[in-house]
Amino acid sequence: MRARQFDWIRMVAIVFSVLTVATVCGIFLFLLAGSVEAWRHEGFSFLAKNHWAYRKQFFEAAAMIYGTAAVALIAIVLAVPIGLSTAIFSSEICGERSRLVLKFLVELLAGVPSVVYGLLGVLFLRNWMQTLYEKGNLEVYSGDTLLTAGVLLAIMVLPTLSTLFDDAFRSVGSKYRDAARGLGLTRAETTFQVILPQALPGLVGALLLSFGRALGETIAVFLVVGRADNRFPKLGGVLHSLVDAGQTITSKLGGAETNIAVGDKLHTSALLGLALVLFVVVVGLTLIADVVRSRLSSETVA
Amino acid sequence: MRRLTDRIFTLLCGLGAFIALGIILTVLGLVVFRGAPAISLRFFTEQVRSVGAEGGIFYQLVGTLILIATAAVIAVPLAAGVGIYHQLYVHTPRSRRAMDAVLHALNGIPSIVFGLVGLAFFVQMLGMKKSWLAGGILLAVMILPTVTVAFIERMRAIPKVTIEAAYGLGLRRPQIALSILFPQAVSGLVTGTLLGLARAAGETAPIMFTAVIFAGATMPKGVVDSPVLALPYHIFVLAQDSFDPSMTQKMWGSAVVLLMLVMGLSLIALPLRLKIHEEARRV
Amino acid sequence: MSDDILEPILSTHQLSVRTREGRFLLRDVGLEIPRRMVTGIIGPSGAGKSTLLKCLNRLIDLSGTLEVSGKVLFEGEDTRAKSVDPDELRRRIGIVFQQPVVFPGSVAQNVLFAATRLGTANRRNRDELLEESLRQAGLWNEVKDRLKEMASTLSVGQQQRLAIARTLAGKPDIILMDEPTSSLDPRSTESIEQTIVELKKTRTIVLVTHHLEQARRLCDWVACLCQKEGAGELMEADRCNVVFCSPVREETMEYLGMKC
Repeated sequence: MRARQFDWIRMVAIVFSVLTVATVCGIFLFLLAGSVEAWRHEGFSFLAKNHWAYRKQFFEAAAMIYGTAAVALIAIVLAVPIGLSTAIFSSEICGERSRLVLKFLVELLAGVPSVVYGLLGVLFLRNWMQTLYEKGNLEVYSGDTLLTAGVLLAIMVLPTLSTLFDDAFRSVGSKYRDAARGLGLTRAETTFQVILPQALPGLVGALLLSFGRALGETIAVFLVVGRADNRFPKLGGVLHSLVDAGQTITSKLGGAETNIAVGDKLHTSALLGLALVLFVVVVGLTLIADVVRSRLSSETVA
Repeated sequence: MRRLTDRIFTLLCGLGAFIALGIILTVLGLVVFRGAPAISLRFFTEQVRSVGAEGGIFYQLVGTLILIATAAVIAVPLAAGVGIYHQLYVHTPRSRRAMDAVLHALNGIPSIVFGLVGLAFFVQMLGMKKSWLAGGILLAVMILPTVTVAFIERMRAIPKVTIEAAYGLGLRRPQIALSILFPQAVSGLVTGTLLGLARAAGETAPIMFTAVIFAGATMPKGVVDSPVLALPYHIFVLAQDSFDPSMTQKMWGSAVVLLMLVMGLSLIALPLRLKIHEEARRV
Repeated sequence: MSDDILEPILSTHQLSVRTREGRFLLRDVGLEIPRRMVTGIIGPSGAGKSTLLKCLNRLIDLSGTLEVSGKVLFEGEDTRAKSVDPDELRRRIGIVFQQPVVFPGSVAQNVLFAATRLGTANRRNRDELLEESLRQAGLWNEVKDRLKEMASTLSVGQQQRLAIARTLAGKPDIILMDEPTSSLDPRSTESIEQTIVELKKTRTIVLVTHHLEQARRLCDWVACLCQKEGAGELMEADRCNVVFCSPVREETMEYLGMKC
């Protein structure tokens, strides 16, 4: 019995897999290497201080980090209650057929490109928010604010969140539901005391994943966030900053400065630094979400 | 008291679902309602005139199709290779999880990062200037996880006994891959590709610095320094200057067409996905 | 009797299978399979009979987390040596599972599935091989007019015989069978038992079964595997009537319920 023959498929498969891994690592290293100059120039103030003026070679991005976090948090805070109740409704309350219809519609929304959301934001949401602000006696220049971007993002993130929540609930085996209801527990009690605790890893993972998506969204946020630099509020002014224009990492990167920076080593480096921060945070959240969700499948056997 | 809590619970959840449904229908309704009037055969077949205010979106559509076709050509073989490696040549669950982690990480990378890295790499470092190929490559990398995971999932649905029986007969791994894995899992590859392309068609960020311009390009000539037009970027640029009412209808029309393309791709995948779901349940 | 028949065709030496966490599934199994006989492997469920079978043709390699130690010798050669091609090994030591496995395609395509790809079948001998394998599996008369039909249209009993025919088409020296009739109706069971009796004239069969009656009917040699301290161990192996009527080990007696 002679030894194995040459397996060309294995060769190709290995090469492609290595290529894939290399791409991910390559992007990371590329960002790292490219942003070294900015880190050296600014040091820790790159993240901690608030002064971004590329013409004067100031690259302190605290305001953008604040903007990114604020916008994503608003989105999550708004989307989670709706997404959670929709998921509970679809997985625990309504019938199988309605559930499929609901699922289909939600998935439809998940496929809408971000530029279309941006369009809706620009032509509708912005004006509605402006009217809202004026009704609340808030002085605003236009409807382009952090809050507007947050609301738009909430709509964008809702379908993903809702579907993942639903998956988490579904992955808890029906035997638990049957046992609980069989004991006489109501639907609410079953959901909160039996299903929810078991679905928790899946729910948390869904949250992290959606938060990561919200952090990374560019086009829609770009169009309605106002793109005003260096808006970093003092402690008391946080709420006011939300109804003011702002800037996120993604809106900065998607804007004119990226093209301007071509050729200017330090400027490009700073932008790559911003991208690095985004990369690390978002990919980090994605991987953590992965780990959390894997706990789900190991503990509950559907 | 318990009954009351239960009632309130059901009510609140229903309310949430109702709001969600309302949002969905509003979004879709607005786009379709506003955009439908702009659609005509001329819209599809004519070029843009007067910087978007007149004419149709023919070359934007062509450009988008070129970009996603390139992405497919690159991503499908890669996904097939990675998938086969994952199923046939990786033996420990830990290594498989590591591969999954890489795919998830790749999937999570924000699209603007692709755009920026593409700019720095293809345009600056390689000196390619704006090129459809760079855009296609970036999109391919972006959708690779989607295609791969769909393929892997379909392979995992093949009953273990079937694979064991194939090994038991003495078939070699390339033969098992070609005679059993591929034929039975091809539907997963196709589904994944369609879903990936649906996503790629709508993306602006990866291509806006590396592959597309707003006006002036028709068919690409060559690979380097040959940008294309694209639907999402077209809408993006128009949206930034949205105060001109004559533009508005064209914007909506473009948005509807883009939506139709994206939805169309996802919907073609639907019967296939239902069939896979059925087969998985039967097994 | 010549030396040829006395030398076992397959033998294991201190064969143990362990999980990553250190739990033993099989411990120190030393079994000899005599050639051209039916060797039965009996024992309670969970004792590791299927695991043992999979060690014999290295199908155990497919599970990435199990560690195998000890030796399995096929015609005197160590099957786990680096120089050995496991795929070729599996062609020569075929296996039939409890659940009949049918590949997509017609009856003929199924039977010749491996044979065409491994080179055992070529354009000249294709039809001959097809008929021969189906005859040996006791299926030819039932399917000779249905060769082009989809294999999935056959009954479960027919599918299992199809699986046997498919294995036979590779011309193996040994056929391993893991409870091949457990999922079948009595008529199919009878048919397969007949096939086994025919086959042993030219090949060696290793049969895992929990049907004691079946073992008594078919086997020449019997090995009893029982669980001791959580792992499967070989209690005894001897001629069929010796094991069934006068077993040596207490565990064997317990399993057999001491019927003779």
